[in-house]
Amino acid sequence: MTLVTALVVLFVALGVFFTFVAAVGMIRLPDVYSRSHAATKADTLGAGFAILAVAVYFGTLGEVIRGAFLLVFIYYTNPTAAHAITRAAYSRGIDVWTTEENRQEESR
Amino acid sequence: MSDRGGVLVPVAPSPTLEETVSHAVDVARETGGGIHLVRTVPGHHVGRETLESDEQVLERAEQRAREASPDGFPVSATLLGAQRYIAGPTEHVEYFLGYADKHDLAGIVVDPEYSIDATAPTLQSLESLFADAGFTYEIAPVSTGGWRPTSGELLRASVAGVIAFGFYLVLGGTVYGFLDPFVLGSGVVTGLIAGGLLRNVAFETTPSVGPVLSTIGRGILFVPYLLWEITKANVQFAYVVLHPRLPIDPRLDRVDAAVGSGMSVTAFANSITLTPGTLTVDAHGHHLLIHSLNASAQEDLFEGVHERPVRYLFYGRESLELPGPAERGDAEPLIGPDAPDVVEDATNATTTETNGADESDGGAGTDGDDDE
Repeated sequence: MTLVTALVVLFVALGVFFTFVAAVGMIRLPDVYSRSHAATKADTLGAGFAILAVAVYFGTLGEVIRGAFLLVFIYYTNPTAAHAITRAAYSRGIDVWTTEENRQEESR
Repeated sequence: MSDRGGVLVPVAPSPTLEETVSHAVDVARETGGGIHLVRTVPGHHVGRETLESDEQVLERAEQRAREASPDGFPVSATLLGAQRYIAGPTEHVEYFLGYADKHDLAGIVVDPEYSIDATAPTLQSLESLFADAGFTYEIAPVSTGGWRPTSGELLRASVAGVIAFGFYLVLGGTVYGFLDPFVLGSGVVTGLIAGGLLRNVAFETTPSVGPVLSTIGRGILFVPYLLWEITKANVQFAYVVLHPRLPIDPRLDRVDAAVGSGMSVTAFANSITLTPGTLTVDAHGHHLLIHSLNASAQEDLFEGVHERPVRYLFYGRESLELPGPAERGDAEPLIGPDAPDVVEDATNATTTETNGADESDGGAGTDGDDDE
């Protein structure tokens, strides 16, 4: 296994791991706001590692530059989309899940 | 309505400012009130020497108003928002409307060439915002002398065009080769179109070499920092999500960002979303509504861990000394363990937030009165 292959495997593995974390977070977290954390953070880094793997695999300047552009656009659009979703949720009056509220419900 | 009188004139440096003021004086005399010249200070002017230019343009308008009106005619000139960061056209309009309400003015006369710095009036119609608020408004019937680009506009168009051309060249050149005549030719056409269309949209202020270069320089430091923060955020997030007991303690807070323009608020809001445990839910001007996943994320936010790098990026090193939002009193817990009362639902929180915004607007209005 060459160094390039090893790096590609490492980056793909990291990408898969963080995307997996995003999926788990999406299911486990309680409300739309905290789920958005999963959709923006883990997802963004997962995509970042995937692009990094692609750039290393091809290794040409063109791929690296276009990968960098892709990354920039993902880093711009992902938080914007999360903002749009949570903002819509908030203006519709959807409650924010808090531990306090949750404990009250459990004691009932 | 009948006891209302006087007109408000938003003041900005424009070639038709004098004519507009003269017209507004006529209108004001008909309504039986005085003329109120109001200049709102763009957020990025705050704390800089450029405040002087705002005062000068206001003086120019005042002088004209006195020349055009009979002796003893009430003329007032006010600078609004010098102590606050005003972000975006809507907030400027809020200041105007607040002023007009307070002084029971009959109407608003708008300079056809009025624009808040480089932010194009074509992006958001100021007139429609005034009309929605129930004020009679009028665009002063002055001759604009046809459309001719100002030197600032030409500069913005060429910078936007060159950037678009460079972007096109990078994308096309890496596939077909950088010297391919088709790539170069279509790139020039694309650059011209993009520059022409985006001249008033792409920038908030006319770019000048020094500040732009230093912003790029600071950006080179900022990007690795942001990438590192994002990676850290994800490791923490992975720990929380994969932990069997899911140790989260969410809360919602309001933070007023000490950054001025739309661009820097956007960068701030997005870097909040991408960094440890925080997410921007809503933004009104520089009032941001932020959801935090746990207490340590909220602490970082209140201490200005996110704000400082963004301030550094846009305003340079000296802005690092500004205290964090909590210390400035610009942070307020709304929902969650630290909130003063347990707010039952999110709609209540919305009203609290709006009240907060109103108070700060009132404060600015008082500042204006002192100037009169």
